[in-house]
Amino acid sequence: MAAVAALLLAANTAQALEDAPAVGYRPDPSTIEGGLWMAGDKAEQAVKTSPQLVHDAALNAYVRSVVCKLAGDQCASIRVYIVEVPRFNAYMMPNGAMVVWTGLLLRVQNEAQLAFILGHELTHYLHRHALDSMRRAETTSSLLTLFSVAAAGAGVGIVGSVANLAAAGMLFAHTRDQERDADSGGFDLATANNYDPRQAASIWQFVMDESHANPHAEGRDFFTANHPTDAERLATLTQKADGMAAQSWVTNEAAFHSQTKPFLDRWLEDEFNRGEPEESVAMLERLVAANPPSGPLSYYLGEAYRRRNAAGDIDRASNAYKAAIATSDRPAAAYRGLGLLAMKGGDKQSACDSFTQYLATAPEADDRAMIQYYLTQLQG
Amino acid sequence: MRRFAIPTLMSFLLLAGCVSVTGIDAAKPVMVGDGITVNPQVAWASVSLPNVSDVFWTIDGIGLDELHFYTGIAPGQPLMKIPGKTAAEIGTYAATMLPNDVMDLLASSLEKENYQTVHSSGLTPVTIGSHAAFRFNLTFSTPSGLEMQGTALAIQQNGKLDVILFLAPREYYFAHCQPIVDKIFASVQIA
Repeated sequence: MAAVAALLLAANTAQALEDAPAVGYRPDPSTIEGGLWMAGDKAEQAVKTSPQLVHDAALNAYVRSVVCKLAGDQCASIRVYIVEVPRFNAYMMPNGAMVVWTGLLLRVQNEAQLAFILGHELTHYLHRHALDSMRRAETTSSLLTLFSVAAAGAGVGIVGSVANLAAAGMLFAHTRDQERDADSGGFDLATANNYDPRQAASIWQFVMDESHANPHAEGRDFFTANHPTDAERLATLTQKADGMAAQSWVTNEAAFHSQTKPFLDRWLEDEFNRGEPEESVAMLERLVAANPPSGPLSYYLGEAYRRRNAAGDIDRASNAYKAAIATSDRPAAAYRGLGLLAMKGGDKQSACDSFTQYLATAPEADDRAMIQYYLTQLQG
Repeated sequence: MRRFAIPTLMSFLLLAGCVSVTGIDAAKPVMVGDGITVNPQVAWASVSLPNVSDVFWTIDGIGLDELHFYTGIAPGQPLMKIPGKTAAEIGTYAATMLPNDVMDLLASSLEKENYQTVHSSGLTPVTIGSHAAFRFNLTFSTPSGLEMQGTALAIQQNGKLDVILFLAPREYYFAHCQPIVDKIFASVQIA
């Protein structure tokens, strides 16, 4: 309680801080900003020790390189953490720790889109939005509530679950005006680094499409829960892009795909296991249409159709598996998918052919015995 | 460990006053639903928690080793009830499901129960008497970040689904209990 009292006193007497934190800045622990950073430090420690933290050096270096391109000298103040959670989210802690979920990396189509989101998060830090929110807490009780939430959240393994990860983001939630400011700041940072301004609006288009596809959606996703509406962002960012002078903008799509390709299978399996096939179908239809032919993308689109099982999905799944098989990086599992569809549809010969092809392509498959059992049943 | 853990668990639960716990005798076969009988192999505590549909067994305590029985799942029903979620949100069983579909259904149901990064593997057919059944394995994390392993036995009979699912932390507990669970799976009898 003494610490909270000191923070409250500091809140009442602190001067407004308008400028970005200096590189290497560390607030006095007895100030309200020091308390915010302390909560951030605890949340960051939980992220560091999470089993879901992605340790791959190349991927971390790549995402950090994009952050540093945007942040300039402030790069030294930012730590970036990638965590394996199959949903669209990123958040910034007030102490300079940035968390990016793999579901976001799966969904963005190029480096420019990633840069707009990372720039948005950087702006929260550079404009000290968390401190501003804290100072706007008008009453002692609301400030106490904020700190009790921060203290509770910081003490419970914040990165352990989607709910806890979301709670960590919510600890440092911002107002809608701050989110508008972050959108604008992110746009300016990205375009100053020559990223195609039209990519900013396209992010909110696909966020809307996915959300509208799911009849069970409980509400807006974590990243956008406190943000302006997706439609407002789409309109605002489109208007800003229209106002930019024509020049040779970049998306760095090839670099982005080269860095994320090794993880595609794992992230797609995570997405599939989320059990939201309507959203997965919307996302994968978009990615398949926007990218060069990709075996894993087409295969998981087939899986999502098979799981959704709406009218016409059997044919769509079959076509997606066949498209996957036609690629140079065909997943053996696409043959299994075709076999399962044929078996359910009573086409024994096609099922046998596909299962046989699966076993020939993946002789060490861990479900080999099950597929052989299917074959025995089909041939019996 | 079991000798001390079960009384501790019982005391905690009695203090909580909102659960029911009964002992399971190691030597007596137990009917776990839908005509399925298993031999427990060792003494277990059978736990029923409020707002949770299934009864599960544990040796060392909740969260350390749990043997769940989801039996008599009819078409249109979810494998498990999850407070605040509808059957459609959780995902439901269909009689036309193949073993691959059942494995996917269990993985996504666990995700809906707030477990993280659920991955399934090792789908294998097994025979129980004259009935076809299958097994598979799972890895995932708990909401607090603990890495877990699971193994499941599933049986489709008369249009319904029965699943016996064992879950335990990857460190120590899963390997410690797996031989017991394997014997329980092998002991399954269907009336």
